[in-house]
Amino acid sequence: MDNPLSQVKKYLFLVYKKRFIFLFSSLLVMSVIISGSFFMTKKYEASSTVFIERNMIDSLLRGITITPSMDDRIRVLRHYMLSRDLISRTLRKLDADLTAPTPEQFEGLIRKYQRATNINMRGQELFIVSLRDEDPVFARDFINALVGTYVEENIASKREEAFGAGRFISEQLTFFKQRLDEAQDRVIQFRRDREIYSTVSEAALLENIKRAEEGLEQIKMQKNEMLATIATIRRQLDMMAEFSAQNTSNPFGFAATGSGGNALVAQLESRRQEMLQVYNERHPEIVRLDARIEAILEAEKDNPVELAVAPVVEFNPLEDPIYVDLKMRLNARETEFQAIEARERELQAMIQENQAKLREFPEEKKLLADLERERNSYLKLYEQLLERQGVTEVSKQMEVADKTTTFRIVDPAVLPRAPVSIDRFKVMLLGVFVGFGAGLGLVILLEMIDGRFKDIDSLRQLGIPILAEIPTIPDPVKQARMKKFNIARYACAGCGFLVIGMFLAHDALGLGLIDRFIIDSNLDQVVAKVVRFIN
Amino acid sequence: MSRIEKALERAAQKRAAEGATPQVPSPPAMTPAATASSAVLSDYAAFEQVPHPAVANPCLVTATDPNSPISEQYRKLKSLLIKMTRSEQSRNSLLVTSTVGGEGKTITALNLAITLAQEYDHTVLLIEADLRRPTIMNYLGLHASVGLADCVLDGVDVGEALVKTGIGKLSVLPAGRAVKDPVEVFSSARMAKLLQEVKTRYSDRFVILDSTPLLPFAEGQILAHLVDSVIFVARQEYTPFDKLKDALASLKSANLLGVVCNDIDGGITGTGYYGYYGYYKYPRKSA
Repeated sequence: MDNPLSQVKKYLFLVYKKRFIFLFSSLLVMSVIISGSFFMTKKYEASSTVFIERNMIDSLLRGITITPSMDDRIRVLRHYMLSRDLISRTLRKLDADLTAPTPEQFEGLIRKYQRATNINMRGQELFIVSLRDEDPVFARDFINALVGTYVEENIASKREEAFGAGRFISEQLTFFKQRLDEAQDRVIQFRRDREIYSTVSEAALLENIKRAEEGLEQIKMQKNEMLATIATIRRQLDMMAEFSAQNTSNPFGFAATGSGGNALVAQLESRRQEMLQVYNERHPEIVRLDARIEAILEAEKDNPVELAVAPVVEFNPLEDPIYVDLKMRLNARETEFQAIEARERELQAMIQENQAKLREFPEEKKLLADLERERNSYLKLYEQLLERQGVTEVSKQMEVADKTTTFRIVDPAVLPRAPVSIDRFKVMLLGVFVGFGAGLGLVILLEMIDGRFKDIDSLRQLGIPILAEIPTIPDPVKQARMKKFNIARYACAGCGFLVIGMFLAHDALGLGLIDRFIIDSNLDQVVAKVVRFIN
Repeated sequence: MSRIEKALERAAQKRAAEGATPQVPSPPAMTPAATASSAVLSDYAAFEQVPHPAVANPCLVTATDPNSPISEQYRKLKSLLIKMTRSEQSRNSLLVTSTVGGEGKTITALNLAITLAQEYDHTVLLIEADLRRPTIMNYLGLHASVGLADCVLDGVDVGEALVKTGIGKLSVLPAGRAVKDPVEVFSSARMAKLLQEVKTRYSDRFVILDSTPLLPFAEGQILAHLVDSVIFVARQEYTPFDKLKDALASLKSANLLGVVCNDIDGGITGTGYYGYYGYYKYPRKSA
């Protein structure tokens, strides 16, 4: 049976059983609190409202300017305003340090005002700083001085911050420019050393090698063709030389044909036709063939027998145009062959060179990449700083012109007239509740420490049979006496609660009669003396 | 109307006829039966000769208000006891004790004795075994010059010391003269013999002993071993619970029948037995 309802019933029964203890202890506590509330020190509250103003220009120039860490300042506003440094400076400004001659006392004063100062943030735009103090003038001055100091320091520090940022970025810009130049020089020097003026890629080198190899193949084919041609020409020349050695008069067997000058002419004509397919008529060989044919024909016309009978002519290879021609062609082919060989060597050298470059390429590339990376990082930083310098410059100008976020004191602290610190009515109500709470607590405590036999079930748990439960036997005389006594006690309690109710009504109506009585009879001073003595 | 009430009425009529004022006789004077032989004692009509005393003490609720719910509780207790002791006829002596003083031993013993005495079948002898603070006679508004101490120490006959109360068949053996060391009285062989005698004299008699509390004095422990059974009285919101447990533990070797819980609070709403007041008031009105 430990459900909440049974618990409530249990406590109610407990309170009923010890109702007079409950009532009188509650009354005692209530009386102490309520009478004490009349002697509580009056406190006055001074407050100042500060608006954190963000100008339109700030929104307009968002991204271009940077407001110096305003959000951070707002975030730590409470801690900064209640910092030991700011509070101590404010107190010194108000000459409050004169009332605390020793450092310990001054330290106590700082702690007191740190605790007493209340900062209430309303969103991100408004904050209210208030202080409750016995001296209304001091409360007002303190709040105004504190807020004033905070706002001044903020504006000054914001400007200083903007200037400082500009100065720092300029210094950094110079430094990084120097670093960038150095890195750039190192890249150039490296390229100059390694003869990499332009960006040479691995693929390009491979392409060059491939092209050179293709060239070499072509040259090889040309060489083979050329060698075949040269061999053929040589064979023809050898044949001609051999033939002329057997028949010195007619290397080509003209005489053997037996047709005399006509056969020779026919042979020459055939040769001429063959050459005309390649050359035109003005070619020296063709001209010479024409001259020869003409000479043979004229000679045949003049002396046809003689020619036919005795055409004895000494064979000279140099005079034979065909031989000469072949010789010339051989020479030309040999010259071309040499040229091709030279080209081949050149290409091979180029391939070797490119292959060597390719082998060294990764190492070089790495070194170059490192240098370039270094240069790029400096470049990037430099560019960023350059960009920031512009932003800083605008921000600085904004700060100088006071165009950014500012603190505007909307409502400065004024001299408080009415005491606010204690809402006596609330204190009294609180006293009533605390009194009842204390009464209940006392009753529960007494019940807890009471070791008397209360519950029959506890006896049953011991295993003892319960024979009878005899209720309280009423004794009319005793009951009558107790009734009278109880009536007296109820009357006393009722009077007590009536007085407390009167106190509450007095305060709720704001009569002030008791206050006047206390002041007139100097009771407050007596109580203050007693409190000081106890302290 | 019960026979007792009828007898009382007859006695009243007789007194009125004689024109004599009813007086509570002094023990020797009022106890002609005590001086007479046991044959006189066996005649129950003799009880009817004793006028009903004017019991004024509200605590003796079984005498002053027999229809009250509290009396009903005592009757329930009586029924339980009769049921528990019926099986053995010889187990008719009963000690009423408690942890400390002021728990209602005497009230319980008296109310139980009165309830039993009002029973048609039983005679009851209530022995005032609390020699340190005897109160039974005061509750009944009676006086006696000799009693238990005299019987044990001086050898006075029990019959001479007995006081008839006029409440049913209830006799009381008062404490008697004041003694220096009550423990010596109860630990004596004479005491045991006396108790044995009063127990066995009548088979239908209930012998109830009202003793001192268990924890402060030793008499209770001695008597617990001389009687057949023990009733323990505990008062709510009064008896220290740890001491109560100690006292109960000291009765381990005795025949403890159970505990009578006294002064039980009805709670805020006064529920419980009081809710049936209507039932109890009805016979009173009709009477």
